[in-house]
Amino acid sequence: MNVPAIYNDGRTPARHDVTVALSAQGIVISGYSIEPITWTFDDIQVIGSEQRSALRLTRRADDEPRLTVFDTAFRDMLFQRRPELNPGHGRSRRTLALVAGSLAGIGALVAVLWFGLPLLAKPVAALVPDSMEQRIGEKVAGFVIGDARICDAAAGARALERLTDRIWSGLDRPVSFDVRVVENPMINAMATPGGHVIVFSGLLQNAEGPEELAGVLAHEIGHVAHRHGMQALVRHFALSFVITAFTGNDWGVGSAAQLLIQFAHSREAESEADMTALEILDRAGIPPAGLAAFFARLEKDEGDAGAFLRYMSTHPPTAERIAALQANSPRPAPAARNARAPEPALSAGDWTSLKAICKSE
Amino acid sequence: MQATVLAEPDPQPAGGNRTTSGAHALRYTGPTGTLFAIFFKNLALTIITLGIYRFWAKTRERRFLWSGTSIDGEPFEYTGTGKELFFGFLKAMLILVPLFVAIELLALLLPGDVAAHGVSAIQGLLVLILVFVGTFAARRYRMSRTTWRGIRMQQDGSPWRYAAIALKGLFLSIVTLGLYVPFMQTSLTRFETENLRFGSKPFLFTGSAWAIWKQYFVLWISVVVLVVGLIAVMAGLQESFELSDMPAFSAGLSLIPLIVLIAIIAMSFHYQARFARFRAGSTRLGEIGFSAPELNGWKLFGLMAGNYVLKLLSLGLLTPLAMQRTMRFWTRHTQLEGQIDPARIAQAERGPGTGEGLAGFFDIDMG
Repeated sequence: MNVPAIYNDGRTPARHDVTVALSAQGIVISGYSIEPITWTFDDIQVIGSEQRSALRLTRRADDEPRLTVFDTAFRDMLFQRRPELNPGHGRSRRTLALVAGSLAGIGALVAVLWFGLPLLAKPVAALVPDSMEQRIGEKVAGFVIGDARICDAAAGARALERLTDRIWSGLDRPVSFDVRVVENPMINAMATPGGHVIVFSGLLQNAEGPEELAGVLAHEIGHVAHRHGMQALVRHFALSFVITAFTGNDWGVGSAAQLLIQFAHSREAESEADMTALEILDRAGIPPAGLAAFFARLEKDEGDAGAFLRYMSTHPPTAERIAALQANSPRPAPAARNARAPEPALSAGDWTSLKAICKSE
Repeated sequence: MQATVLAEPDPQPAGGNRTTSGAHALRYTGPTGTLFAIFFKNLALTIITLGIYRFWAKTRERRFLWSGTSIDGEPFEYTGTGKELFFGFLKAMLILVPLFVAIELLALLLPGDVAAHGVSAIQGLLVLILVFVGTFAARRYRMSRTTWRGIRMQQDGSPWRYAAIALKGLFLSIVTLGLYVPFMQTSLTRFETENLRFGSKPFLFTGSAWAIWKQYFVLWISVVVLVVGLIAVMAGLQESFELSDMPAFSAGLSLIPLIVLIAIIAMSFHYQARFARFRAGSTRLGEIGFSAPELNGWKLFGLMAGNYVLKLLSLGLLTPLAMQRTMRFWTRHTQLEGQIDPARIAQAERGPGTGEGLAGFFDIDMG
């Protein structure tokens, strides 16, 4: 059976009208050269067109020539003889392999990030020189404060200094930090790299007694002592690097994954800072129950915010933290040598002045 | 034997290397239903793989579009693979991401707002340059994977040179309030065309920028006259009748930007059609000349506005329909005429091994 076909030799765009026939070995092409050419079945490659069109073939050994056959009966016979040549053959298996490979790749990447990043973040953060950390910290603090006013009424500032001195006395090694109160109704406090602690006035107003504020400050200084800020920054850069490299810059999936992994690690950091805060308060002789009390009240206010949201939040579930704090705070015997018997963190007068630090004189 | 035959090309006299003459039929015959099937399969797989399948999706789509396009009944062929696009993307990421992380780190370290603004300016310029570089590099890949009658296309020319021409053109266009635009477009088109080959045969660009500039200038000046005229008329009315208190007058005043915007859009479609005609008419491949004599601004507007509405109303689900319209439009409007001796064209070298990484990064989509 001879069927008309078009042969392009891959050297020039000339069209050669040829005839083709199936033999035992492969396809015999007559009419191009004096002797017929045979393309063996093992050598033949079908070029996919994704639509019902003429059968187009090339060779594995040399993928430049083209043979185009318009006769569908010839195509059917070829595919009957060699089913693996049909572009549809094994296609769903290949697609499945691609999907499985993609998902496995994503899984492996997430695993590496999840377990590898905390291992990486600590040593890399430790490598950052202090001067650089200071400069970065200033930038971050400036960004957080923005246009907000820094509260510095004289009496309040003196009270704040007395409180930070108390906390300082509870450190078992020097940690450089400074504390600023910023006018902002949010109930929040944070520590940037380089030891800049920023307390929002909303938190100050919400706190019931100096022990609660002292607890929060000790917690933030715990972050500073562990260099959590710098570690978070290292994680952030490493993560954006990997995720952008993997997904390109236009995929919401990437930023969602980034948030998830960031939060997971900050939850660990929060617990670590809590434990350090208890040690600091203990050594400074400040009643440590304030920290737990503050969080307990926050949780009550938080009410029934979805459990999922709480899980995702930067702070570990507050109930869990409170339980851990309460289990750890009443120490049977003061551990450090300079531990004192608990006494109020500030006098009543100082506490009143501190609460009024945002009032201009 | 059953004689079922699919879209056979025009019968030609027997024999080997002869010359083809006269008008050539450029056609697009890709079936719409098949494209929809590919589109939705691609969409599903891309979502399942969190985006990784997009390189294979793009490849399937192109294989379909290319093999649906034919000259004298002989279809084009897309020979690229999803793997090549995937590795091209990874390669671009390995270079780009550290670059951008380093720039961001620099912004964090440098003191002062000025430094931060300087860094973001550098970042913006870098993105602009890389967008042009990526566009042209992607074009090189795409051309090297396009064959007709087994002969590859080849796009030569440095992507960086292309970016330099584009950047210079952009700057001069801004400085001249848009008067330089035709020169920029012409020099970019000339660079693309004169570095393009079918096998060993180079394309030629014979157009002069002044020819298209004259047509552009008429449109440009009419927009300027319209703006100035409208303002003058309104100011005159206000002066002579003290109309400024009347609500109808202020309503008319607020219509001015809208009228100007519509005028600019109309002019721009008109000009883009003129330019496409100029571009086709100035392009040659040996003895073969191109032209697009029937193209005009209204038809171009119909295509673009129709596609926009189709995609918008269907939330993107009718994108294949828009693709079909685009393919049919451009193949219908482009004409090829002239004879060429195939024996005098040889195969082109093989193109780059991987492709389109940069363009993928910036999400430049060229079909």
